[in-house]
Amino acid sequence: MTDANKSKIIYSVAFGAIAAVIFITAVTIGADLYLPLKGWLKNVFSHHWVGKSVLSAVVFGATAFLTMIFSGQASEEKINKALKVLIWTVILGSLAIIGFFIWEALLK
Amino acid sequence: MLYRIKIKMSAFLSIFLIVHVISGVVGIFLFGGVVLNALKQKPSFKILKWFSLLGFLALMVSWTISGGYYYVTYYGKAIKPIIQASATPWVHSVIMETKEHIFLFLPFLAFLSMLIIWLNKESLIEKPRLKNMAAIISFLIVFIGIAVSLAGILISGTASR
Repeated sequence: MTDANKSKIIYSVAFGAIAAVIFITAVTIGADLYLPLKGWLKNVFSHHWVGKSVLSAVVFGATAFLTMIFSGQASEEKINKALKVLIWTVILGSLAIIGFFIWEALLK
Repeated sequence: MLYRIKIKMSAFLSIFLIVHVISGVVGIFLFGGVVLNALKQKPSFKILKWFSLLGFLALMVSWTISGGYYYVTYYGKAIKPIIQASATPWVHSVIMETKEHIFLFLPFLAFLSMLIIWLNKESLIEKPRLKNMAAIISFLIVFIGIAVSLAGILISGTASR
C-alpha cells in the first residue's frame, strides 16, 4: 500500500470518528429531550443504548467511506488538523454529556 | 429498604460482568502502554502494534459482548430500580447515564489509534506529530477509561450497599 493511500485511510477514519462522537453526543442529549426519539430507538433496536451503539457504528463507517471516496489527497498537515478536531470533539462531547445529565438530574 | 436487598445474578451474567470489567481494565492498561511507548524517543513498535491491537479488541469485548449484554439484559431491570430507590439516585441519573454514553467514544478512538500505528509502523518515528497525536488519542482512551471504571465502582457500590 502506498503512503498516500495509508494517509487517506487515517484521514477518513479520523473523520468517521469525529462524526461518530458528534452523533453519540447529539443522540444522547436529543433522545432525553425528545422522548419519541428514545422510544423509536427502543422499538427498532430493542434498547435505546443498542440503537445508539449500532447507529454510531453506521455513522462512523459511512462517514469514513464517503471521506475516502470524495476527499482529495491527505497530507500530514490535513491529518493532524483532523486529529486535533477529533481530540477537541471528544473533550467537548464528554463535557456536554456530563453537563447535560447533571443539569437534567439535579438542576432542571 | 429496597436498596438493601441483595441482588441475585445468574452465574452466566456474573461471568459477563467479570469479563466486562477485566476486558475494560486490560484495554486501559494496554493503551496506557501505548502512551508511554509512543512518547519515547525510540519506541518499541512491536509493543505499540500489539498493545494497540489487543487494547482495541479488549475494548470491543467490554463494549459489545460482555458489557452491552449485561447492561441491556440485567442492569435496567435489577440494578437501576435499586439505585433510583436509594439515598443517592443521582448515581444512576448522572454517573451511569454519563458512563454508558461516554464509553461509546472509546472503540472509535481505539480503532483510530491502532490504525495509525499499524499503517505507519516504524515510519511513524519520521512523523513525530502523528506519533504524538496517536499518544494523545491513546491518553484520552486511558483518561476516559479510568473515569468510566471509577464510575462502575461507584455504581456497583451503591447497588450492593
